[in-house]
Amino acid sequence: MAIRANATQSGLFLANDRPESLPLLTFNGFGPTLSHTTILWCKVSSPGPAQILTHTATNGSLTYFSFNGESWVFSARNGTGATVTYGVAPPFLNRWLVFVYVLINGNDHRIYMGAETGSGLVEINPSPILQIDFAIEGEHSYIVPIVNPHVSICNFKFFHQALTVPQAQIHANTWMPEGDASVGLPLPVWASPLRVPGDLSGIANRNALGNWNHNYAYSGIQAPENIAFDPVDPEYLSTQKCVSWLYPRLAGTVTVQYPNNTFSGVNPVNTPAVDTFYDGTPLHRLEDRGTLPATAYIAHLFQALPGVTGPGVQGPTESWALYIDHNGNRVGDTVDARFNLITGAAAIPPPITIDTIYAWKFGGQFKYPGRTPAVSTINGFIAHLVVYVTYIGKPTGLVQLPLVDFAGLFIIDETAPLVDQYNGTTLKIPDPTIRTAYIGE
Amino acid sequence: MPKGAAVSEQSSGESTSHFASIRIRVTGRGDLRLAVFSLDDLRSKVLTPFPLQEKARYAPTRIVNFTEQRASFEIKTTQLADRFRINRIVIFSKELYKSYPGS
Amino acid sequence: MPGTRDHDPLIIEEFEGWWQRGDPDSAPSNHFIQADNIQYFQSGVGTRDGLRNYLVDPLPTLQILRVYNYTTQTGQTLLVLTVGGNIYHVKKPTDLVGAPILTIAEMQDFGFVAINGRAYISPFKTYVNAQGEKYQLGLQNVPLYVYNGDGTPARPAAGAPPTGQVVLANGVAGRTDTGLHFVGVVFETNSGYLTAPGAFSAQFTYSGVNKIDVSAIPTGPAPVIKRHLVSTKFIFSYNGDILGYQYFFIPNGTIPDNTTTTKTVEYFDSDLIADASHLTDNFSVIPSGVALNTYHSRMIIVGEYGNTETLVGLPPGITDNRSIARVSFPGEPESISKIDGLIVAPLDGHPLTNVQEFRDVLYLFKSTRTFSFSDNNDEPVTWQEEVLDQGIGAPVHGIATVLDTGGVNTDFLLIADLSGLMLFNGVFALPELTFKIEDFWRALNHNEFHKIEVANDSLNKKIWITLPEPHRKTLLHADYSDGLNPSKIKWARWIFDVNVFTIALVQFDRLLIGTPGPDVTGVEFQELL
Repeated sequence: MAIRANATQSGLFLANDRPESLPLLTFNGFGPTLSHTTILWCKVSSPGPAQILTHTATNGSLTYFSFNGESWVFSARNGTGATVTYGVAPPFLNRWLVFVYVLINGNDHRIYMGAETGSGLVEINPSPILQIDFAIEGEHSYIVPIVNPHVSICNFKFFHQALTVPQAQIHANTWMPEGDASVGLPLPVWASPLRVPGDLSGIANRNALGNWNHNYAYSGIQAPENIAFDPVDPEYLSTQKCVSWLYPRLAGTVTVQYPNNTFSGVNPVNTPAVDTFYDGTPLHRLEDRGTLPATAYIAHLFQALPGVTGPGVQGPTESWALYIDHNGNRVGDTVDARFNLITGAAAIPPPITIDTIYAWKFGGQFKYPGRTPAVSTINGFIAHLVVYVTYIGKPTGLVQLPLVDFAGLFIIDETAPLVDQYNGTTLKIPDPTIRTAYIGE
Repeated sequence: MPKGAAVSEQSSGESTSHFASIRIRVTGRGDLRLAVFSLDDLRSKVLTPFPLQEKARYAPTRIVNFTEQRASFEIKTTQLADRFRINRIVIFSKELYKSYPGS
Repeated sequence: MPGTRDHDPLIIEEFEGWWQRGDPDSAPSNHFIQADNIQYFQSGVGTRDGLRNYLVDPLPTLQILRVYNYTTQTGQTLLVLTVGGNIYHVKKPTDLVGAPILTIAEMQDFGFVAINGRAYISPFKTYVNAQGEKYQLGLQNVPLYVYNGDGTPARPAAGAPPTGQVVLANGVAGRTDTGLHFVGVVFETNSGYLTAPGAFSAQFTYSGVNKIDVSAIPTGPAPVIKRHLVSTKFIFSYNGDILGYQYFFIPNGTIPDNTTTTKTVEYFDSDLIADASHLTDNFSVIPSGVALNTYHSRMIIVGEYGNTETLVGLPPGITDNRSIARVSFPGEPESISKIDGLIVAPLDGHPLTNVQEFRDVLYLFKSTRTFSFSDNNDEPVTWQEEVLDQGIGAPVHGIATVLDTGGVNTDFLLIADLSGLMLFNGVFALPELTFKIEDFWRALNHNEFHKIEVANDSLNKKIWITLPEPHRKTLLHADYSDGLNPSKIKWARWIFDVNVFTIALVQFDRLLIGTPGPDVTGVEFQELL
């Protein structure tokens, strides 16, 4: 389930409250206007190969950034089908690095880089570490970061092409500051939070139905005007000092594994005698907890794409949203709950609030027409369930969760994984540490 | 421990020593982070981490190369799902100097 | 390996735990000056085990303030107190959380004891005196509650006597003694409590040749399941004090329901054997306290504030009953005499905080005092006090419960005193078990010791202790598999991302933590008295 900021805010850098381990980023003397710019923070903690950013095009694989165990490399597939690889930087172990990939225009692609200097700054070198003058096959806009056990990724960001250098610097280092709308700064499309090494085994493109089994998904970035149905923000709770959003997997009987089990569907097998609504299964609950500022909520929207699948004669003629509120009551079975076939949107009825939204369950219901004699039915479903919440204000950027997320009864379990799990949220055990006595001869 | 001194259960460390290396019999998962500190933590050194394994047939050794009167070793893990199980810590040290000049 | 020539190995193979006593450089070589989130095993140390949800379906999320093991007749369950003063009965991890069994908004904590499968619940809170010292007492004018363990809400223990007036009339032919008699009614509740007699009849003279028809027998409120008729013997000359006579249970005078309003009885005075007079002096509303326990089949309550009835006639300067321990009749936990069912601990301005039976002796605790009492087979008010220690006591949750029984060891008690965790085996053994971490323990805020709770896993020889601010996210952990003594016990800190308010052991030896979340520091109403 996606939580999207509204048009007045996005981004995940925290203004004036920078986590200690994330240096300040400066675009010092940056060159041309940024266009289709990708910025990625990385930190490698130990030698070992790792793919960092990648894109799988229809005709092959393009890897934008990799760490081959000894140095950073950039590889791309040119127009002749040949893969060209460039070494771009040394390892810089245990230091934050920032890579800025810029499509200037047409064939002009450049990569800029900055490394943490130890004074709390990362200054982007105005000279690109790589400049490519051929067209790179495949869309730049469909980039996917990959998680590796020894590489931290933070604040992956895709900038709007109209940004100037000073504007990009603002974006790179801050949440959208108050008043930015008044100076007309265009906004980043969106950005992704930190992924700590070891917590996720991998992320794949949503459309490729890749490896979602850790419930944290990242899909491609598209220009907003192309999105009738926005992709999901990847989410992850980190106890490291980097801004992040929390999307824990829920415990209990209702599973939310977006985009696994993204469907809510039904197949009655045979048509009924009269028009009948059937409830789809399963129902889904929001994953995101805690980052929504309670007083600044604006609106909710439920979206899903109806579809049919499988053999049969008669499919559903209508699909509606199915809502179970926080008290376990079914609400909103009205025509307003019908999914818009173009946008997939369905209004969420009251009494949903910012505090109760996490306990609501969402799904679909499907109307099958009565037919005599009965015929076999086609499976109806809604896919890619998403709930959007629009709000004003800044996400805190810190792990500030509602009390309810971490409250309750918990048991020390020697058979469980060596993590602390609170109501579906997984946190590491806070740095197990021993310190010997002061030893000497 | 100085000869002739009463043996007590308290700490020892009267000469400046060179701490050469540390060997830990440890199993687990992830990376074992190591650091060494002087008295009052005025001086410290981060050592190369141990990559941990569930089963290991030898106890790895890390160079410390730390010269101080006394040293305290910090051992920890910092990442999600990392864990360690330590059975034995061996610190290799050698007395270098009896005292500072003039003291 | 370069650098190891001529270098002697210093082998650390026995890890004796955390040392926080004196300067760090005085720590013995086989100890740690920091030991966080680790646990000990034979000759080794490793990462502690992780946490997971106890309830399979944790919604609605409970912001836990206190949890107790509640042993019912069908198994081990939990009573949990949440923010807002709600107590829930959690029977199994697979059960959904139902409605609370008791809600008292003012309740910040509660004392508990299980007797015969019933839970007795005593709400209390923290007060602050003019010197800023915090202390705990039962809620004023809030009673002790009893819960049957079946999901029906808890109700005030004991109960009011019947009201009204029964009517006596001559019935069919029968045989009784002649002369003036009075008849009354005693209610019996579903917890076996017998109220004081009430609904006394007007004067009635038995003819001797008729049975006695009793009518207008009052029915009681919901917990009443039976009524018993009681009677005086023949009264030669009535003095006007209907309560001044001895009442006896009438043979066959029990009405086994709460609906019937008539009964016919037939008895001689010599048949009146079972005395009901002692019921007259019992509390109909038992004041709540801070700690409950049992001793010789009696229920003991300490740390009472009092109610309108018990706060009358106090000495000057005394505003509550903080030094009184209420003692019930043997086998009747709700029957507490107002006259002689009490023990008064020495008045020193400090309230009683805890109560514990150990080796047939009853110990009452204040924060820095311990008193012992022995049952002399007479009324509790006659039990002689012996001051055990003038410097060591126990806070409200400072006596360790063992395993998941909610009880204590029979060989020793672990008591968290201001000076350290003490081993008590009839005397307080010194030095304290927290000898090695004395600096840490002594630095704890004495004003917040009511937040300390101790759990003892005697199976695996481990101890956990909750801590007050600023260590609310920390548990003290001890491993005493090498011996329960100050030199062999091994300490560590277990640090969580949430405030650990309460602990218990479930499934025999698994540590359960209850938390209201990461940012609640405690709901304490502080009334300046």
